[in-house]
Amino acid sequence: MTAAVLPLLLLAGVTTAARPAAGQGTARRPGDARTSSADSLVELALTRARAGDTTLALWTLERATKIAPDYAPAFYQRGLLLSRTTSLGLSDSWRRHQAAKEIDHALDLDPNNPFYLLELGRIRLKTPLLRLEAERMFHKALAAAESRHDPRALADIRFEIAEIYGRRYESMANRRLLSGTQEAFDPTAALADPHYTKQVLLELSQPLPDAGELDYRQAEDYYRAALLADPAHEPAALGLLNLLSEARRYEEMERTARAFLAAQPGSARGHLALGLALHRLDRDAPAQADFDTALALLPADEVRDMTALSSILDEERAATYDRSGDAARSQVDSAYWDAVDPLRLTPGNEAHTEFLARVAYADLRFSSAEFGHQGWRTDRGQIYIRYGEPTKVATFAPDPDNAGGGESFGRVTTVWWYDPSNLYFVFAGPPAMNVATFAGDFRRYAANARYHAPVLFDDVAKRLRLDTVAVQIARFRPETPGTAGAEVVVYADVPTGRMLRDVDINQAPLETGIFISDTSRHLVLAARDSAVVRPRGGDRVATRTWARTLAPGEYVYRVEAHESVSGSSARGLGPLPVTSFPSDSLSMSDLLVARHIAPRSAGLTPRNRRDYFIAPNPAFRFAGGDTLFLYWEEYGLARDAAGNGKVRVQLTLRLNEVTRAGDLLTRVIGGVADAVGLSAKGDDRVALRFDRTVALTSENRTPNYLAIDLGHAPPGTYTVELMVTDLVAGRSARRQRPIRLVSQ
Amino acid sequence: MTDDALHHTARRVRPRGRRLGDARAVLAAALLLLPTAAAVLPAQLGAQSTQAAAPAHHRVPRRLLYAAIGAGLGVGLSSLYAEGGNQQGTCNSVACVRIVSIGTGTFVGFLMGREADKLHSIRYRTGTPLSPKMVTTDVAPDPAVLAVADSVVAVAGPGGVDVFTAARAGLRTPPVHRAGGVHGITAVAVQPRSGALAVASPAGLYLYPPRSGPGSLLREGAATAAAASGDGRVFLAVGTRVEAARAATTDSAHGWPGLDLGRPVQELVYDPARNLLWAGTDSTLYALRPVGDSIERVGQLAMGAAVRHVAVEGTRVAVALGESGVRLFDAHDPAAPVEQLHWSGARFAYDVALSPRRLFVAAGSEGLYVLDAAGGSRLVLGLARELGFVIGVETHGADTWVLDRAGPSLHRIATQF
Repeated sequence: MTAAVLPLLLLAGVTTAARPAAGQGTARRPGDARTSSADSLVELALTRARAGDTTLALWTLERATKIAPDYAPAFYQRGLLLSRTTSLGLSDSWRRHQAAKEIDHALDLDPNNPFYLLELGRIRLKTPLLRLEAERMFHKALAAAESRHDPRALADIRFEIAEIYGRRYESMANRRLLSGTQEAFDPTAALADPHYTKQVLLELSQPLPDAGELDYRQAEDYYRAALLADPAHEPAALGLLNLLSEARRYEEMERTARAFLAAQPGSARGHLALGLALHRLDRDAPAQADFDTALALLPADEVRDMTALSSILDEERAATYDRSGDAARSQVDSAYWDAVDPLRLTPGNEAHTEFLARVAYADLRFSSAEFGHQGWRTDRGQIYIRYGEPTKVATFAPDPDNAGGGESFGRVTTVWWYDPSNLYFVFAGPPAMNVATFAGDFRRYAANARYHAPVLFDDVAKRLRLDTVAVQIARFRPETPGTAGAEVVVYADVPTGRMLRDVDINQAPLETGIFISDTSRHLVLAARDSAVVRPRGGDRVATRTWARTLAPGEYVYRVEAHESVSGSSARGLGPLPVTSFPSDSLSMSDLLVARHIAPRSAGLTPRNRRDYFIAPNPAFRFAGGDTLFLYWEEYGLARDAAGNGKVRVQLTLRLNEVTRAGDLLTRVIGGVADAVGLSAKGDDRVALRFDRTVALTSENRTPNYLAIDLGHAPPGTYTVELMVTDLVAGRSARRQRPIRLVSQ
Repeated sequence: MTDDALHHTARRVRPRGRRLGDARAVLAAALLLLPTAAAVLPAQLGAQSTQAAAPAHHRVPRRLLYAAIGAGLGVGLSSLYAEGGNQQGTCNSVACVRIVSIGTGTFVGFLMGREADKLHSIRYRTGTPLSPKMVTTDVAPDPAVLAVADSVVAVAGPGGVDVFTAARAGLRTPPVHRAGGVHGITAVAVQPRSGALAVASPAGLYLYPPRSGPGSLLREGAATAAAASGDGRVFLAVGTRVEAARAATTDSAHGWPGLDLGRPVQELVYDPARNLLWAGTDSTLYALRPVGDSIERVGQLAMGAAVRHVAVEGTRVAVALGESGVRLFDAHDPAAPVEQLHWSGARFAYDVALSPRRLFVAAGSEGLYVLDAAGGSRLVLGLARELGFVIGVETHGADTWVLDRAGPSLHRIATQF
């Protein structure tokens, strides 16, 4: 038993113990001086136990038993304290024997006291060979409690009986029978062969119908009976909520949690369970509210550990995270959840809510008061928090031949399999104890899986039907002279066709937004708008443009779209570095890749991009026969003697990866007049070069565009590179973009 | 010596350990088969009992049945043993083996049977087993809503609404998929006669024309319930309001007339015979009446629990109240319904359906409870577990439609099976 858990158990023990002490008047004779003094000593002992001084508490109780040898509560409390400081196994046998002796003595003085019988049952539960006997003892205690009509005792005893059935159910749930020659699930084979687990679960085993149902129903009955006696009985409520969750009875789980919270509003774990139920019912907003309430009610230390990111970081980062102080952790938490928030357009953070739901489930399902385990710390709890609900869960009976050796003897094997990642984890644990740890070498497998994928939120992406927004960012020199930074233009293709495919409505409200934040995660741009679109399917996109002048620095952008009727979403995100353009030498804007570019007016000399119709191509994707349009601006060209600028432009199209071989032939068919008509041919690389003289204005901004016929260029990925050389100053600048050619 | 002879010889001198190993395997297989073999029996018994309008259920106690089967197996195995030779060990005589085999078989069979009896008594503590004949079809995963009108049966889930023909052969033809992609459907109302659909979702209420065509937004906002009348009116609940609209109107900017009930409305059912609209909130049942283009309150009744679903038949109204069970009212005077029944035998009443003689209660993982709504001497007629995780039930004349989330499937059973 860990040092951290012992005081908790002690506290639980003495709290429970303190309640019956007050009601154990049957063996107490008011007015008896020795009894009064023993009673005071019991109170003192309880105080000492609560303070963590068990030895002194035991000594004080011993004194009480000597002062009043016929005062049952003193013996009971001593037995209780001895019992609560033991754990399941043979190691504490002598101490448990002493505890049982004290309680037996108390029972001699106060026969049929349900609390004393209950504690005897609990002691039996901790004794390996007497666990079955515990159930009989609890039933005896129950009969005693029923005859005394003591609701508190009834609730406690019914809860203990329910726990016995509940644990049995957990061992039998999802039970499968192996078919063929296999006698048991082999964790070693599962590690050696990545197909083994899937094959066993899908082909080589059959579910055992109704396995564990009797235990499930009996556990449910007893939990409910416990709550009937004491509606505020938290362990019984949590046990029942766990059962309901296991059977996916989420509507019932919600109602049960609400009924329990009406009786016990301050129960943090009640709120966690309610949050879990609401989350499973697809009601994230109220779920998050309950998670928040739960976290506010839990002790700060527990919240710190329970919600620590170390569970879902790789080992190295987790170690760094665990070493950091509260302030640093808080910053990392905030940055992490900000980064993984699937959509800022929606009010909550679906990934964070999912994480809390996983923690809540792990806490509810895998906690064991008997062993002092907190569910989210267990092997199963940690895997659940990282990867969520397994696609398939199966349990297999212990291997009759004990092929796995001594470690697996008599243990139930639990298998979790995730689709489509084909991650799988195998656990083994003793039957009817709700405890399991990694089987065989699966701890190492889990560490390896953690290295490659510390956490997966596939379920969130699936729920949000998350698609990708294609984004092209082009940075231009600000129009206002002397302004540092760049005018950033964000072009985005929102895939409305894919998002609204199969959405059977006339019109859909589409909300789009852009969020740009700096390194401190302060939003420097947040713009949202909505439009009504007609679902038409196909690859139709809605192109959106945002422009903003940003100071030099590092930024992160997110472009998002959300359609509320279908719940479909899409997003594009990435880093956005911004630097200033030099005022006294050559520089150029980003290359803007477009589907089409044309001057707005044939008569006017264009001064900047606003003088063109530009249909950007944020996806950088072209089909065979398409024309590639490029736009760029040159700044700070040196003037020659006539006051003009002289530039050499070199355009290179390089084939990076070919889907299907073919000749590369390009021809400039529009744009800068000096270039029109140029053509180039090659196998995997073509280059066009031309010189031009430009009349410079005071702004010294030269807009350019080219329309390039890609001919029958083979499908593949290309890099377009444009190099501009100032022939007067002898300086050069270059920009490049990737483009993709696809078959028509 | 021929191969056959070799084989024969080998069989004859097979060591006892192997024989016992085989015997163990046979015993294990037989014990595993015990529940399966016995499962045939209750099904037959169940069918007999339902056909006889659910008389008192007679069930052979499994502890006796399995013990007898176990004893029989013991006899069989010991006979096999007796045929073999080379009998070594402490209890090696045929008589001893026979006693041990029969004793073990009987004991193990008894234990298994006792478990089966316990499970049976827990499962059917409230009602005897019923096995109504059913026609079943698969539906999309995670179905949530069931709606029936005279011509169609609609099942809504995360992927939209599957519309089946309510005719007797309806489940044998593939459903028509409507409202595809509409997320989080909370309610579906089918317009009588036309078959047009009103689909309530967190994004608003959408109207779908009969047979085919995309939906049009009627009302923005999170719609939680919907009902439709045969004359083209649609009633919807948004937050605490109940509103009325004409299905022909698709002007979403329209201000809908209605009534604020002060509590979140979760259920709406229209009773065309009396032009009454029943609304359920998280605590109260309301009787409302559409008047002109608006709605007026007729009466209200505290339920003491959240109203999940309401069913109307004639002048009677049944209400499913989750963990608080089911209440049945005589609403001859809708302003002051009189309670006829409050039954909380189910763990959780997800939905309720009402016919002149029967009350069906969708009880989730327990199955479908069938109650006598005609005031007979036995209130609970039985429980049909084979229908799965029943979350929805609708009665329409001779047919009752049952939505099973576990299947997931849609079952049709006879109302008076």
